[in-house]
Amino acid sequence: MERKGFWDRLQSIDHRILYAAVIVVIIIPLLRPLGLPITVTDATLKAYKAVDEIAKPGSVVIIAFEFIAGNWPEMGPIAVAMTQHVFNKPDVRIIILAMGRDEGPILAERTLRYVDKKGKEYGRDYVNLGFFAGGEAAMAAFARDIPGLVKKDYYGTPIENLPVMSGLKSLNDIDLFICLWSGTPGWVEYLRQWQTPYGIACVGGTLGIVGPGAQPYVAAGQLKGLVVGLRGGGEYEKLINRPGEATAGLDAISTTHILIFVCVILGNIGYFAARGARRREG
Amino acid sequence: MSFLRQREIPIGITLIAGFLMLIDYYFRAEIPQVAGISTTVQRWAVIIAAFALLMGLINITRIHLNHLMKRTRGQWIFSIWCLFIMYLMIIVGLFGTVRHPIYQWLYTNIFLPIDAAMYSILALFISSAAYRAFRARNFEAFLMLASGIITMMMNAPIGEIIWKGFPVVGDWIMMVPNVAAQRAFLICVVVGTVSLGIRTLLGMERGYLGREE
Repeated sequence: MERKGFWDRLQSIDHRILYAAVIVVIIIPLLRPLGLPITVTDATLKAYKAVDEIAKPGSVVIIAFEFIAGNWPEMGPIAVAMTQHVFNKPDVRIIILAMGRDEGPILAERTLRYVDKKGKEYGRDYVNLGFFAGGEAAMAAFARDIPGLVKKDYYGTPIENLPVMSGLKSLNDIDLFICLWSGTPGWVEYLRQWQTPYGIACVGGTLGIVGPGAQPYVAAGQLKGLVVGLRGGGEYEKLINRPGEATAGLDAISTTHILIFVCVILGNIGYFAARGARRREG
Repeated sequence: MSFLRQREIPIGITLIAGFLMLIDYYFRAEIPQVAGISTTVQRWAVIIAAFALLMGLINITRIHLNHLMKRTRGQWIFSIWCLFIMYLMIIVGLFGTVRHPIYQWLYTNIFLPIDAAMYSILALFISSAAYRAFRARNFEAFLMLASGIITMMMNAPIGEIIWKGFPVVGDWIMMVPNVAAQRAFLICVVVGTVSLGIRTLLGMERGYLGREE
């Protein structure tokens, strides 16, 4: 068997070594944070400003939890930061629901555990309506006739007994929609059933891997702002002045990205050096 | 019974429901009478979708019971675990509600970490894949490598410490070439969806009816 040269070996580092290196560079900054500065990007700032400007006293905000448990490490900090921002606003009614992911209401409950309620009371100022099966059909039915579709909240309380729901007939009574999604069903379905027909102001939060695919909606103004990935979560935490899990995780993002960057450079050095050596050998 | 098995019946239902939704969506103001019927049909869809969850439950139970009966090698033991956990969560959720401490404990301490661990494994695969795939073998590969590295460094706070241009160039890549490509992709998908919708409404697309006998 032909023995691999140094340059060839540089191109084919064993995946187990890479995995071990990734794990090490994730763990070290989590144990000893580097405290790297976070600069707020334009997309996150737009999302923050949209929430800040639209969620005025007397307004109604819907937050849709359309992600799954596996997304929690990345989506959780975004959900906590954005929900906290809405809770910070005085005299705003908050409606939490899910129409794409049945785990949404449970993750909403988990999110609320990390949120400072700022004196807001369940049932009076905010409510968790739970999950509605049916995807786009449920979205369309909700938008058209809220009392027609929603009979009880997540805990079985009739909506007539929830002051937060009083006077809400259709999506026209909602001022802002925050969509926290991780895939399909998610934003695109809400875009079709809520944003386009009703023109509701929308802000989003999503995974880093989903973010690039959602950028056309930001460019078109259908999403007034988009918080993407752990980086976006960290930026939002900075904007609301409440450092949390995303801020802690960003150092690990930096170290892993540097590791991948170095590995890619090494791989390319190996590739070009090996190619050059083969050419010289003829 | 042969009357009920005719394929024309579901095709007819699809045609009526499809046109009803289309008329409601595009001509709501012109034909307000459709709104009431459309809202009722949408509520039916929500109820039918809830039944679909029950169908999923029956289907999973059937598949895994089958594995158990046949003692499928390397599978039946996981089938027992799957059925046990699924029915445990259903029973606790139904009789104690999802706020029950046992349900919450199962979700928070078993399901959530397992699901998060499955998702986080991606970090390892992507790191390895990036290292192996990002080779500047030609100009196109170089472009992909460069844009990948720049957007990656844009997402890490350390990126702008290394070079102030990473966020600027990264943002440009994200908002200009990325948006252009994504829009082209979206428009293609939408055109395809419209043609599929028309074919379905006209009864030419019958995949949703299952295999023809």
